Formats: sequence, C-alpha cells, structure tokens
Amino acid sequence: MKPFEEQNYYEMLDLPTSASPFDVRHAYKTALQIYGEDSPASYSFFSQDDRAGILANLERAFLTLINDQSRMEYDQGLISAGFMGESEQYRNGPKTPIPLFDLEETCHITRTVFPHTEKKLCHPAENPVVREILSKDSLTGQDLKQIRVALGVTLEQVAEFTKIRKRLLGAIEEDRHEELPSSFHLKSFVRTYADCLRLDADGVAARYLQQASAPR
Amino acid sequence: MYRKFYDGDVQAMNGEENPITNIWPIGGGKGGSGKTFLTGSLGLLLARQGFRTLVIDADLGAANLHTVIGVAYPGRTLSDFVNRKIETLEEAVMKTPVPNLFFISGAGDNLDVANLIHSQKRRLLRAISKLPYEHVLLDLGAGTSFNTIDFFLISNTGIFVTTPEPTSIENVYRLVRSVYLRKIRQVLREEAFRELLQEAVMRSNGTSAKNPEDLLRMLRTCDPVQGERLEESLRSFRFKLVLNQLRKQDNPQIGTLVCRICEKHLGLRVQFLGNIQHDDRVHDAVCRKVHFLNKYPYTQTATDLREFCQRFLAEREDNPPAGPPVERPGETIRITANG
Repeated sequence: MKPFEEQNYYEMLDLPTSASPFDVRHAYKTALQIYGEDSPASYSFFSQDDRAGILANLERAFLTLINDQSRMEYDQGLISAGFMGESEQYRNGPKTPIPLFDLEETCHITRTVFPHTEKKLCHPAENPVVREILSKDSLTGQDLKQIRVALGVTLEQVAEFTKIRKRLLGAIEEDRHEELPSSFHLKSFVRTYADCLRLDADGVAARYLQQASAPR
Repeated sequence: MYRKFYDGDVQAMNGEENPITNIWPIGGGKGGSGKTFLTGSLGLLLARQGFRTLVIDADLGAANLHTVIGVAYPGRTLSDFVNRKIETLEEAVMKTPVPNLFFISGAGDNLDVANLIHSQKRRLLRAISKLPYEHVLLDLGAGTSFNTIDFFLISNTGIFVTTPEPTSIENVYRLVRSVYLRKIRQVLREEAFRELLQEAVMRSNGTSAKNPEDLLRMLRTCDPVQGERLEESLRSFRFKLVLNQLRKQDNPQIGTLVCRICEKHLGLRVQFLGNIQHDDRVHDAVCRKVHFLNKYPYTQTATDLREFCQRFLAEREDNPPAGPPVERPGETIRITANG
C-alpha cells in the first residue's frame, strides 16, 4: 500500500490512465465527497493537516489532468519513469459511431442467434432436403418454410436476426399474397430472409417473386 | 461436519490466520448504533434459513441481547463459565423460541464480569472457537477496550456497525484503528513492537505516533521483511460494514465511501453490506419485547435486513474457510496481560 502523498495523480483519483476529462471531473467530485472538510465519511479519520495536504494534492492532480497540455507533460513523465505504457494514454480522437443494436456481434451474428444450428447453417447446400428444394425452378413460400425447418431455424430467430416482423415472414412463407407488400419491398425481404439462412439470396428472391407475382 | 475446523483452535484464539470463518463478531465503537438489534436480527434470519446459529452476548457487563431475541430470564450465563460454576461453555447454551437459534447470555449476577482477567479471557475465547455451530454471532460492547478488541479479533471476519452520524463514524474509525494496532502488536514480537514505538516517537520529534498506519509505514522502511509480513496479515482481514439507521435525508453512499477510505489509507479490506433504514417501529418492537422481524415483516427496514443477510451469506460462499494456519518461524503471538 503506497502512502497517499507518493501516489501518482491517477492513483490519487482512482482513475485508469486512459480516463477521459469527463471521468477526471467525476473522480474529483467523488474524491471531494470523501475528503472534503464537511464529508461525514472521513470525519475524524484525518487530522486537520493531513486533510489539508490531501485536498491540496487532489486539487493539483485535478488541475493537471483536466488541462490537455499539462496532462500530456505529466503523462510523458510517467511514461519515462515506466509507470505507464505509451498505449495507455488518453487519446482524444474523433469518436467512431457505435451502432445502437449491433455491438460487436454484427459480423458473427449467426453464431449468437443460431448457436445450436450453426453447423447445419454453414453448408445449407449439403442438406439433401434443401438441395432438392433449391433445384426447383420456382420457389413457393412453403418451399422456403421447408428449407428453414430443415435447417432447424425457428421463425422467431429469423425475425430477430433480420428485423422483419414475424407476421410478415409468416405471410411470405404461407403465400398470403394479400398481406405482402409491393414486389419491390417483397424482393428485398425475401433476399434478407434467404441471406439469413445463408442461401443464394438473388437466386432465391428471383424464383420466389416469379411465383408470387404470377397469379397477381 | 463443522468439527473439522476446530482442530487448530489454539492458534485460532490467538487471532492469527484464524481457520474458523463462521464466527462473526459484531462491533461498532459507539453505543446505540444497533449492534444488539442487528445481531438478533441476523441470528433470527440465519436460523430461519436452517443454519444452526448461536448468538453470544459478549457485551459483558451491559448485556441485553436476551431481550431482543425473546428470552426474558437467561438462566446460565457466560459469567458462570468464567467463574467455573459450569465446566464447558456448551452447558451455558440456551434454546430460544426460534428453532435452530441458540443463545448464550452475557447477563449475570456477577457485577465484576465486565473486567475479565487475561487467563479468563483466553479460556473463554478458546471455548467459543470450539462451539459446534454453523454461525456464531458475537454481540460486542461499545468502546475500544481490550476485551472488545480481542473478541473482535477472534475471527478475521468482523462486522462493523455504524450509523450515518459523524459521532458514530468517528467511533468506527477509532475501533478500526484499535483493531489494526492490536493486530500489529500480535504479529510483531513484544520487544519489536516496543522498539517500533520508540523509533516512531524519535522520528516524529517527541510526539507519539498518532496513527497505526504510520507505524506500519515506519516498519516498512526500517524492516521491509517484517513490514511485508505484517501487511499480508492485515490483508487477510475480511471485514464488513453495515450502515444502520439510515434516514431518508442521509447520503446512502456514506458506507461505500467509508470502505474506500479504509482500503485506501489503511490497506484493510472492508466490504460494504448495505444500508438499513431507520424505523421508529424498531423502538416499539423492542419495548413490546417481540422481535421487529416478526412484528413488522413487511417494512423497508425488514427488507433491508433480509437483503443484508443474503449479501452476508453470498460473501461467505465466495470466501470458503481457509486452511489450517501455517506456523511461521520466529513469530510469537501474545495477548498481553491486562489486555
């Protein structure tokens, strides 16, 4: 346990070295709650001189870390003394947008959405049932449903993954034409559906639309 | 099943590396902060969950735990054991109205029981660590007398009770520091401790060392090996803190902050177990001599108490009982006379 006076500014404020100015401000506020003159939490724990010393240290730490210029200089000192690595510095770069729903998992979503059926999904063409259906010239909603069932994927999973309403997916699978949207949108939905099952999206969509638009 | 922990009880009573993790001393420095009430409530809740629980009133000379748990006339007491009217401590164990909850009273006709002499205390501490119960809760008295602190150090899992008032927090820090100092004394040899004190006085120009943490720091500079060892044994503590009688206008963060101060400035691990709301009906329940949890089970305070008990049990599972203590050469541990 290092005595307080010997700690570096980050340790005094209980901060990681990569903390943002917002975190610094917040940590200083918390520290004042602990060490402030009127704080009930540290009442009688420190003598008057100790407390004054700690508060002075905290203020110095805060003023150093909140200013970009002085913080950089201070970090350089710590890096050259070996207390922190170059990469642990705070960088105020432009922030990249974070997608609201797809945190990290976007690209591997099949893995998380269909954990049990992943193996089957990897090679849908290897499934004899699927192969047989796909060899047809036109595909009905029933065919799509059979493929999906053969691959062991539930409608809910497809809905969750594609963000298409379950009701609409059901309409596609059961060929309820009156509930389907315009062919332009329908094509896009079927493509997404096929893509989710790792089928040839363009081929499937074209063959389905051919069948769906015929009786209309 | 729990017998197995009691083999090393001689070391256990010395307070070093205590192998028994199911003794819970409950102390708090200030009187009126709710130690007795919390002990009674925790005992009741543990017993209801099916644990064989023993509560001991170790507030010698000012015992009143029996009232809280509904035993109006304690029969045999700790003082009978201390005065050798009964041979084993188990004879002093009484049943309570609650199944699974057992009780040893500290009340007694012997008015002098508050001032235990050293050999009596040794015998008592040893007997307590031998008792075959799953949880043994020790209700300690206010103040920081040697008696209180030695009872507190019977296990390294003491529970501090405080209220959000500065007076109470002040006394908790007082108790924490006293326990800390006592531990330093136990780990170091007596001569080494005296040398350290003299050194401390010398370095600080005649004024005696104010804080035990200064002593530790000094020791680390004079004798890094000893200092390291001492710090390690201080780290073995698993103290807990409960904030009792929190009123609506109080800052609910105080407990967490107190724990952080102890960790940062004393190097002691103190876990915060939660706030317990103030309720005037506690007074009412005590006056009627019924337990609050029975009379007012659907209040915020009762909920807080149950949550406190849950958190307490969860923590216990995280830290399974430690192995038998390792004898280190050159280490003498004493509980000093008078103390």
